[in-house]
Amino acid sequence: MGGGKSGKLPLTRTRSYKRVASNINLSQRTLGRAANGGIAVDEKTSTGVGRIYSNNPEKSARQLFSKISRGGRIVHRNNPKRTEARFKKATVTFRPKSQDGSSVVEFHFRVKPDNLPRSQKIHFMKEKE
Amino acid sequence: MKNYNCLLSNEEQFLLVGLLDSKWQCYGSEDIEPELDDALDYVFVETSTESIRITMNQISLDFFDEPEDYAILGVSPGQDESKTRGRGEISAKYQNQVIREIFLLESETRAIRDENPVFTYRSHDAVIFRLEHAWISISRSGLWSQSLVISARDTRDGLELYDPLSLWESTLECRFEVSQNWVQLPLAKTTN
Repeated sequence: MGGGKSGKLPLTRTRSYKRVASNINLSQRTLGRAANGGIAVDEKTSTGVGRIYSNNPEKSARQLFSKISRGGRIVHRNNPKRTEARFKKATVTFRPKSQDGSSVVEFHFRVKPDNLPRSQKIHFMKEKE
Repeated sequence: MKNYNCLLSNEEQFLLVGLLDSKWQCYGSEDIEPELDDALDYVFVETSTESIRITMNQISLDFFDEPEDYAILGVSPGQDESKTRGRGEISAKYQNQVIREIFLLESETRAIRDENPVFTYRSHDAVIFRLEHAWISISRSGLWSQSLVISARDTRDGLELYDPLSLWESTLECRFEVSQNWVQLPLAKTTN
């Protein structure tokens, strides 16, 4: 795919939300699949928030963002607190530090994809020793 | 039971009311999709008399005792949009149509766990403009997403509006009750 490693792809080439769904399905081969179809969802809260524990949470979050945002138009924010990948009818967001200090990956679909929740947020937490 | 009110303030509603009876000129954003239907962070609306920004802002809420970042709708005065005009996209469709009515989409979500109410969350989720011959809505997209969905139709049917039911998924332990209303902003401009 053209467009280089960074910068905006031409607007007319925005990929469909189906690409994100496919990227998430691929990631679930290693991360597993929650009952609602998402990733690491806490079933108690019902709001689609999940947690993944890792030795290097920010690195793990970046890796997941990189995987599920593949094919998207990356929006480099002036504010380094957030990177967005834009798709037609979907967005994927990476925040190195959310308000509780953890790195976060979020995805959101404007239309309900097959077998996935419309929206999810995944916190990356330091593995307990 | 906890109550969360994330409604537009009086000042924000006043900014919207100030657009009534003016002529729609255009909308746009710096990061907006080519179909002009999905913008990030803000959408500016320019009319013959005023301009405003409809924004997505982050807020921390602790629905289930753990604080979490959510996105909520906001309205602020218009800014110098020359940067937007240079880098973003603008739609001038429906230009010069008079803004006849403005509505807010108001939602109330109630969480009930083991038959006990846990919280009530009220929010304004979209601003809807009725022009002479068109309807334009600018709506939040999700709970956390800072995207704004814009839809323009000849009738109010088919506007793409925030749908909380599809985002709050009931489980065996916790169920959600959602209601939505269209709230019309005052027809006459309020006086100081």
